[in-house]
Amino acid sequence: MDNDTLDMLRTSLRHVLTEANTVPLAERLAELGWDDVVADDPVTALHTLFTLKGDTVSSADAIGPRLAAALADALGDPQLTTATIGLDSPFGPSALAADGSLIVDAVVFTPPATNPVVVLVDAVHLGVVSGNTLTCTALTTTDGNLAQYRLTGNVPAAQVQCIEGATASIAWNAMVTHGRWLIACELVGIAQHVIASAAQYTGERIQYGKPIGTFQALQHRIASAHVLVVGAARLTEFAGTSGDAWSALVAKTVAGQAAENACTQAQQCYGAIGFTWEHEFHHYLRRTYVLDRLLGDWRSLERQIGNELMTSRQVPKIGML
Amino acid sequence: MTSPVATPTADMFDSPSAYAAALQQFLSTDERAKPYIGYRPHSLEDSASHLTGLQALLFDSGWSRLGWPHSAGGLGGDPRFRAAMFQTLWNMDMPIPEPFTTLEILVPVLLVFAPHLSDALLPGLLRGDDTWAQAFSEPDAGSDLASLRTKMEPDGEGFRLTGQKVWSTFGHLSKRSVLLARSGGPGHKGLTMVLVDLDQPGIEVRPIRAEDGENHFSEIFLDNAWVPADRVIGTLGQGWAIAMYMLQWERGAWGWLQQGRFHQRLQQAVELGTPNPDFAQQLGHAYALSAALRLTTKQTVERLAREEQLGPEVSVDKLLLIDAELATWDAIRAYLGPRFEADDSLQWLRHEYLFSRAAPIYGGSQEIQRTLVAQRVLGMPRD
Repeated sequence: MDNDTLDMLRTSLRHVLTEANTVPLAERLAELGWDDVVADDPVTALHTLFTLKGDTVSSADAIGPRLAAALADALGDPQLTTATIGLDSPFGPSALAADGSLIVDAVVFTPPATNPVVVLVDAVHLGVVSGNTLTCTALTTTDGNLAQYRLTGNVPAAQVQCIEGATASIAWNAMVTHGRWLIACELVGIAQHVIASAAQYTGERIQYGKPIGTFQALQHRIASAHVLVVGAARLTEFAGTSGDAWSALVAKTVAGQAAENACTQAQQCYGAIGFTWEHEFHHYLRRTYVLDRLLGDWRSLERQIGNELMTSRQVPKIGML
Repeated sequence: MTSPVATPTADMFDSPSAYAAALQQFLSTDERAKPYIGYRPHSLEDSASHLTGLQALLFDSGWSRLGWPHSAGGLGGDPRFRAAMFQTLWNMDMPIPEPFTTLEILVPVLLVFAPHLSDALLPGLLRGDDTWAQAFSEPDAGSDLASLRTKMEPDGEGFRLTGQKVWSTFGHLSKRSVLLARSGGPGHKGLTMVLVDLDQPGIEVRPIRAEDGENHFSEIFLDNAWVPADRVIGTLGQGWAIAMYMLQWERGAWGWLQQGRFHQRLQQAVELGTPNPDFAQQLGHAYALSAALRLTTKQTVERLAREEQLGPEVSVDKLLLIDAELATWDAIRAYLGPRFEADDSLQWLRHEYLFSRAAPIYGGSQEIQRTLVAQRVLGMPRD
């Protein structure tokens, strides 16, 4: 994609993400010819969409359809592109009972209606059930603007389709890798927005007769936060191009940490106004907390990386010249 | 697998990765490379003298000449080849000869600002026949470098230098030094950069023992020391601008070289240590930062290779380097446990650990870099 096309795409996407609209994001993207854009250059298109989604704290469900597409693609089952992927629920796992019935507890971003729902049962089992066999309850979360629903139910064996073995684990991991990359893009978008906004604010707010941004105490907070955001951005770009699980894992780790740290440092620069609903900041903070939890929060992922290094006794290098 | 070649061939000149693979084969199979694999020095002086052999081997076989222009004694090619060589040396657990890091910083400067010196001096520098130091800081001019006071006064066909320099890396092991002196009035504009011979009356070089017990740097005392007019780098009064040009190499290419070290040392730590979930997060954190540094400096090296002029954003590379360096060594020390402090065979690792404490201090302190990023990259206001 050349730079002019990319600029036009950014402008259109920003409009779609920020306008008040009750039409689902997928339909508005379809009007833009989004499928062609993605088919032409998926990495740039998706990187741009999700970074902008972070930048604008848009509430649209962009991730759900992508997770379904990644899983359907990995399983070679086009029917699953309409599926809803049930992610880990904070209230308990999904499980297969001895009689073959499926106990579901999962979190989704859009009610599944009658679409198929796919949940992870264990490392080598996925369960597929129809959405109308489950109870869908809206969740009250840290981020009230980002809809999340809990799906629960106990589906009889006859209504459960099971995907087993390596096929199941390979497909689920491919979906997780894709999802981690997209969430990392979104977290980087949030972090970049917050850093730029805080830097600008400190140039406007006057105390002791000068902009508070002249104080090194604040300059150093924002500069150190920016450094981690740059590192996260480079990792995220690489994870998009390479598509491999390890670089997506590391990218989401650093992106989650960078976004949380950017919010912490920016909040101090905004002072009291940033603590109120008169300021946009709380939306970014809330979105960061909720996104970081998806597909592994940064602290858990750091532990996962460390355990992998210790047990494999191999330290991989990401990116060659 | 192709059979090893003793010297870079034409098909590698477009591909740093093909070059790196061939170099790795050469180093794994050539007898002459053996004494340097897994080499653990007893002292910095031993290391400097031993690794001169490696530097000459790499030059004579052509491997270290790729990535440098012909006028410097090189074979052409862009800086990515040098970066690929550093990565290959780390992969082989071969220490990087210290002069290579000096070359990364000084040679690009000489090529641009003193081309009249490059033909005569740079090939010897690349091969390691000659070693150079850098003398910028003074006892009263550290972060505030522009306040330096070493005097430079005209005298016949050259200049006389009088003053005191400090923190000159490898100064006591070097024949010459690039030096910043005051040829004019106060402030940035009165500064000039020169290349001065250290082995002359009027110059005394005294090593300084650093935290790790090694003589990493020196003080240089100048009392009417001589520098001929043709050893001026750039023009009179251009010293500050050249020092700023130098920083893009010092802060950018240096970071790539160091990430190779961090990955290699983490590799050694996971080979030596006993898996323990208590240290998982600390190791994961160190690795994630080193990976972030790797990709950030990879982009910088690629920009340098395209001859882009880098700006204040290279301070981001330096700040990320500091975070990665401290986190990596803290994680290694924690993971290896009490034996890290006491095991004889780990002395070399302890020395590197102790030296890592300098990361937020040297080459422009962490505070200076953060101020630069805040003001010049993020546009926060200046006082």
